[in-house]
Amino acid sequence: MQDFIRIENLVFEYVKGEDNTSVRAIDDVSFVVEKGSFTAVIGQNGSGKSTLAKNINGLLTPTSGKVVVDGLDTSDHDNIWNIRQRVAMVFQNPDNQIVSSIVEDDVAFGPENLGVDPVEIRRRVDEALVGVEMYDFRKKAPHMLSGGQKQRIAIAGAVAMEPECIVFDEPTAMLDPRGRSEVLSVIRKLNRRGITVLLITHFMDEAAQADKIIVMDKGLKKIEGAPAEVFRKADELKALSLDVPPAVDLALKLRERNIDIPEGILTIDDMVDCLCR
Amino acid sequence: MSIEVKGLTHIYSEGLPHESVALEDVNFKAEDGQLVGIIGHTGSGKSTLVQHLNGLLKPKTGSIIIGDTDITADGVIMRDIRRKIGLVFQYPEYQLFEETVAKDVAFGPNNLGLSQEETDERVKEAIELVGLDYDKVKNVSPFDLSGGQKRRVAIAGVIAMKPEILILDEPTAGLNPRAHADILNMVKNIHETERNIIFLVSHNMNDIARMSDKVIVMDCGKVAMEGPPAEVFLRENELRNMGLALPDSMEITMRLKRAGMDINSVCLTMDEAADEIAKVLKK
Amino acid sequence: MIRDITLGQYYPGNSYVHKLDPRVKIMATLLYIVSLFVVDDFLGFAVAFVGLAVVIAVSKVPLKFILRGLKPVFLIISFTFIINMFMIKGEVLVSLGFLTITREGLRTAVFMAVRLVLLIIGSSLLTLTTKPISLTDGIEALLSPFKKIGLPAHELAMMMTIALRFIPTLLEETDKIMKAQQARGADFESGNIIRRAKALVPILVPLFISAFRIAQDLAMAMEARCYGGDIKRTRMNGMKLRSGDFVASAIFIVFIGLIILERIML
Repeated sequence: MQDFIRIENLVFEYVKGEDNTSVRAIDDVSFVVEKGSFTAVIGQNGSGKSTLAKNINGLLTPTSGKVVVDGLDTSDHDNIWNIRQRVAMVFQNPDNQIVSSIVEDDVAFGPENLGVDPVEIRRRVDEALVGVEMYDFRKKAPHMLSGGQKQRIAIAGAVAMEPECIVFDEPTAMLDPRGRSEVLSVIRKLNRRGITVLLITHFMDEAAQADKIIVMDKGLKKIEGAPAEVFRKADELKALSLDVPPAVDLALKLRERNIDIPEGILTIDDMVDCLCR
Repeated sequence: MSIEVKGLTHIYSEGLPHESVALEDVNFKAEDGQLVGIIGHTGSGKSTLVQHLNGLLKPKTGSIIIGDTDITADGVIMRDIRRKIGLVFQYPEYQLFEETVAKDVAFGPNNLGLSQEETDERVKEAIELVGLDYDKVKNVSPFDLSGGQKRRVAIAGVIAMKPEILILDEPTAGLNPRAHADILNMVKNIHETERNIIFLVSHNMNDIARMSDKVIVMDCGKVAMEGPPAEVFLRENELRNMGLALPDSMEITMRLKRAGMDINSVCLTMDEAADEIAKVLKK
Repeated sequence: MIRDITLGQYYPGNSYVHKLDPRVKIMATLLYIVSLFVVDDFLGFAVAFVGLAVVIAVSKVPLKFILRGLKPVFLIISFTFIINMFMIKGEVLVSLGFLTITREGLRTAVFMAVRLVLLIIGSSLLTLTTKPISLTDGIEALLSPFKKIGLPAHELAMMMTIALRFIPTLLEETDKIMKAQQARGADFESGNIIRRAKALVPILVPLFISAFRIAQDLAMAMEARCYGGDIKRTRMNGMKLRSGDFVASAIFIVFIGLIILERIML
């Protein structure tokens, strides 16, 4: 498959306000994101995962190293608008990213900024709202909606820019279980339609659904691989203060009790199949 | 100390076109030293209920009796209620406002009108109880701490009021796995040290199953179920209809049982589930 | 309590007045206000009153709802009325000790009160029948000719849009913070003014921090959505004058013409 994002030896440092010491938030990280893939980035708070996300669409630019999106280098200022149009972003707090007091006007904000023709904006907005199942709420005020609904509006706002990739920066961290599952199912649907997804999360069951997981710790990339490979390293994950999905947790506990459970069990479905065979 | 809620009803915007019944005839009891889990999806009335317990909202009808005082009665002094019941809201770190951690934690005790020595002592005790090093943090600005630490300071601010009943609304919301586990251990530690009644409101069924002595399930403003977690989580279909899930351990054991495995499906932790499965497979 | 004030509120509806282009409504309102100061006799006010009554009837906004908007300014109107009545010298009608009511005073007082009432109803009709967001768009469009002399029309409109969006969020935030501090025993209601002002610190500090956090997040989100100010920006709902707007403008011009004519002729 074709590489869509290439990150090469990315280093990002920022200067701390008070004592002018520079802090290295990302330390020599390299990986690629293939076109149409679903990549999850996990790591505890302060591991650099959010900083990484902001480096991908040029909200932050590398201190050294390179981020190349669809052949465009983020360090080149002339590329910024092209990159942001290709890589949209959805943030953690559903309230703080909605600009307008009417749902459909907010979804139109991105395409309006891109100078898209009004008739075309209308088409994109309607399509995006249908896609996240919020079309019936298009005339509502965002503050009357639930967290999960607001987050779906934010996603529609990203989709309406017709990007090739969407970076989700902990989109479910502030939602209740219902909101979480709504948002995750929208993310999976977008991915099936061909949008490249980069999901930053600390929920392991969400990460388990990705094609590839990248584990960050203290600015370093610690593990990279398919979910089955990554969750096999449960001890390593625990040492990084991370969890494993419930089925993996149970598999480990059963092995401790001398029960032979095959590798590669990630979901509860897998586990039930395996035990009842 | 015990708390009893009798016939509690609350209506928002009564008499206006958008009036809505938030609580309807809510009844339950909690005894000394119990940790009570409150679950229910968003909008089920959990938040309205806990705000009543603290006297922030007044019920339309019904009463809340703590020990032998009815806190909904006329003429009850709010300060006396706050002395008895502490409420920690969701994302409590957003309430911090003082220059130093110690001053912020002292805000509650000061409002209770305690003496300076007593306040200082309680502040120290509370900061240590939430697992922070008093000497290290007391003069630090709360805004320079990490997210998890800020939340601890905010919780300490309520614990310093030494409530006999402590209500924690989603204390782990938005935290990553390590901080999540740390906060739960802290809750356990507070419970063991203070021997108070703790109400834990949470969406996380694993935590509720593991921690609580009793679970109250809220749905559409009513108490839909009340009982020990082992009983409540057996009523799978009813819970699902309310949009609630089972703890992961029981999610697995219930499905194994349905798939034909002869297993005791009441497993409140993953370790219990592993034990039960091992027992069946080794037979 | 804050929610009870209808002045400046939008009353959802689908009437002819609601559907008019915001630019037409803003200009009409401004002209109407000017005309109220041109008028100087009973016939003129009668014309202005009838005009307003017709617009209210067409807008289908309940009269009760409109009059409620007058409540907060009732005191100001009464005050102007009294001042005018007693302070203006002229032919004495009634004399109460040192206070005298003159014919001129009474006349000015009545006119001023009527003028204020018509002015407030007229301008509140604009906000009652126009969504805040269209109002913002209208103001932006009307101010855009002044961009050439350096007026940041787009930026002003964007600020208004964001303010409208975040007022409910900040009110909610304030409520949350107040409750949280009350749970810690804070008391906002008793004590003298200094004590009460001091009691606001635990609310204001977290509120400011919240507002800054929102601003920071929002700036980041807007940048990620390619916001770069007014350059090459298009609008989904571009404003377009329709036949209804021309008809309304024509009727309104005739109406204003009548008022001016009345003033000149009589």
